[in-house]
Amino acid sequence: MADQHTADEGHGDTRRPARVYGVGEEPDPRFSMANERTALAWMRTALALVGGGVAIVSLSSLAGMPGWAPLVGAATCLGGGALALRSVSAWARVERALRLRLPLPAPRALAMLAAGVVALAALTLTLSVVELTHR
Amino acid sequence: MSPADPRAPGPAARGRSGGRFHRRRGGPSGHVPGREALQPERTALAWQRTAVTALVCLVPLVLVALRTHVAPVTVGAGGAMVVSGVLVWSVHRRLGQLGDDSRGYSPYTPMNFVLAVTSLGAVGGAVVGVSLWLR
Repeated sequence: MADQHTADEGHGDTRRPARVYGVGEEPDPRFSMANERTALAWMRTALALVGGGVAIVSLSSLAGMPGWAPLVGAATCLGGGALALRSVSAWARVERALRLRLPLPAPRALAMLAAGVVALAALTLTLSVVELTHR
Repeated sequence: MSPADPRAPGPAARGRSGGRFHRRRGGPSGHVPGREALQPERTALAWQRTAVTALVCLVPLVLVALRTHVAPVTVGAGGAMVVSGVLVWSVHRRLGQLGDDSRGYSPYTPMNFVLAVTSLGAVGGAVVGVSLWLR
């Protein structure tokens, strides 16, 4: 039903992406800006993950760290890349919901990020314990 | 326009009609977003933080790529540096657009630049990490 708003209100809007700006009506700019800032905060989180992963990789090449350390760094980098992709799609989904006056989608990325960080921490801890016991 | 109207210009707008975000005489015309809590300024600062983070994250990647002599990563990191330059330009453009509220704006393109930088960094870090692990 909400899709009945499509194109009537957003007709002639040349902004991209069309799947967002081609539907509904212009929301309160404060909400759009808040959505933009939230997406940017996710982007910075993704960049922090990539930066952390690169730091692990560089430290492992410089400081003679265990052999699995670069692999953990690589996994962190890939997680950061996936999160960045997710933040752009989440921005589009929220903006579309704002334009259509629909309930905002649930922030599933938060649970995914928490699960990923916990998994990475558990993996690093396990590998560290194994490394220590084999010395 | 009632005081409760979220689109009503706030004290910041009234006091800044000749300031950084209102270059035109008499301030912006058309659809003026609410200036409460300095929303445009906060959004511009969020963009600046993201651009700076993207640039800072690339520095260790370039250093690691040069040290490990992984040629594709060096090329990728160089490409990411170029995209970061375009990103800085996009942020400057965004600052200008915040002063003209009548123009429609979509953060999609600069967001994709951030996504490109993050993805290049993530792939570069992952490639270096895996290559170090395989050695």
